[in-house]
Amino acid sequence: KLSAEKQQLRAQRRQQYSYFLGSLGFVLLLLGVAVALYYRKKQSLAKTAAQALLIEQKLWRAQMNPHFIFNSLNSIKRLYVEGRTEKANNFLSDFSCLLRQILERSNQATIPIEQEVDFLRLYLELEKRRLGDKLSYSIHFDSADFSFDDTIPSLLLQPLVENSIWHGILKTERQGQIEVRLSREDDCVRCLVEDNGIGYYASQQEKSIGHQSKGLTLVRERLGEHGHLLIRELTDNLGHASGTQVELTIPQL
Amino acid sequence: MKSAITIAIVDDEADARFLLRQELEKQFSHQIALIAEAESVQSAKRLLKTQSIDLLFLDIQLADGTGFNLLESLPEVGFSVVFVTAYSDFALRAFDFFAFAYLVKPFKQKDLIRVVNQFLDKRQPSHSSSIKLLSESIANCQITQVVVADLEGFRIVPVADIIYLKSDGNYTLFQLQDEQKIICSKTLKEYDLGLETAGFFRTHRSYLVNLTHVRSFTRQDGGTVEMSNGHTVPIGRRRLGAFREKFLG
Repeated sequence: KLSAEKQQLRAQRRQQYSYFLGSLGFVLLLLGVAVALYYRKKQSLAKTAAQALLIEQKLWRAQMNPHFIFNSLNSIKRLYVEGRTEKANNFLSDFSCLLRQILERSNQATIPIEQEVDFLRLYLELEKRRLGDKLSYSIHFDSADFSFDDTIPSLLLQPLVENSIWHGILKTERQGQIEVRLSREDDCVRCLVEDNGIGYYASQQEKSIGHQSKGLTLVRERLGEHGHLLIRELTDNLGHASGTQVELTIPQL
Repeated sequence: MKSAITIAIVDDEADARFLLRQELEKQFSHQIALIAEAESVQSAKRLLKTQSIDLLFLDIQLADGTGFNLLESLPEVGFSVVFVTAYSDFALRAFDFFAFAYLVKPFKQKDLIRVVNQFLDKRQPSHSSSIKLLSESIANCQITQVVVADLEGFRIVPVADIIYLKSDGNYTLFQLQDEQKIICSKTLKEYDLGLETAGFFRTHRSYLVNLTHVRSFTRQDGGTVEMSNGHTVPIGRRRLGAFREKFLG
């Protein structure tokens, strides 16, 4: 009888032991799955971060034509070589100011309109310094027409003006003119960029090496579904292309 | 003493022409007979019709076209070309790949001295066939053909025909389709960067494979790749991840 009880006890223990082992295994399994999930998540997070970085880099690359950067540096170099040090210093300071603004803004989604206009003016002034009589421009912007919290996507306008210069004006013999107009309407900001270059269709035909202008695609993406981008070919009395007009509608909340 | 050389500078940026002329005159005043300038494809064409030159500094991006438009419009390229560019990621690789001299703006004094001295040593005009290869590659942003020089001369090989490249000391073996082989006296490294843009992958210190010719991959023997001609190529342990990513994403 005693040995039977002992046997029962032993069987009970064995059962408890196997329960214990079973639940330990289960816990370990759960732990394993959790660790695996954690690493996978971490990996995918790293991938998303890398993608975000890539987009930011794309933005920065699309904003600034490398030819503009290096040709500006070349122009500054010439001023030094010729001993026009003060001019060179001013050029260098303004150029640094422009680069700094781009760096600061390429990770800001939107900025106040006035800041964007200041940036645009600085960019045009630098291009004007290189191109001289080949370029003249005017910006029509009255801050009184806008409310203080009107914003637009940062660095949105500069690529349009850059297109006007590099793909419109520099391709013609005539003196280039660029006009930028900003106005406030009920629920949006309207912006017109007009040039007297070779016209949109002709500029599309020109195949440029290296720097393909992905600018417009990016502008469209950043305007969102409620914004609009319209491109018009301007013509003279004879029906010849006389420039390009780009119209942006930027919704305001 | 050799005769003095004539030079032309074709660039649409006045500042760039000024700086180049100024530095050339400073460094090589005794060797240079004349420096002519042009600012566009059209004006350069007119210039080269009347003026024979030995050395051309050519900007790639001009207002009315590209430097290649100019070269292609000439019946014959009787001079040596140094390409000049402010920026072009791919073009620089292509210049290196096809062994063309180039300068980036703003250029370094020592780079200018180097390219001019290289020219003065040889005084050979550029080959129009390799200019054509270069211009096609840059237009497509991809290298599609390779010039392979061997002891007897050179061959132009379409990239698609190359199965893999194997390094052999200072030589490189080209394994082509139909069991053809070429050995040339350039190192594998000189082909690496350019051919990467054409879909090649460095699997190993001594191997550069054409990914379109990969047939299978196995982990056996530390990882080997079987190519379309049945040859097997080793793959380095640290290249495994990047290699799998090319196929499996």
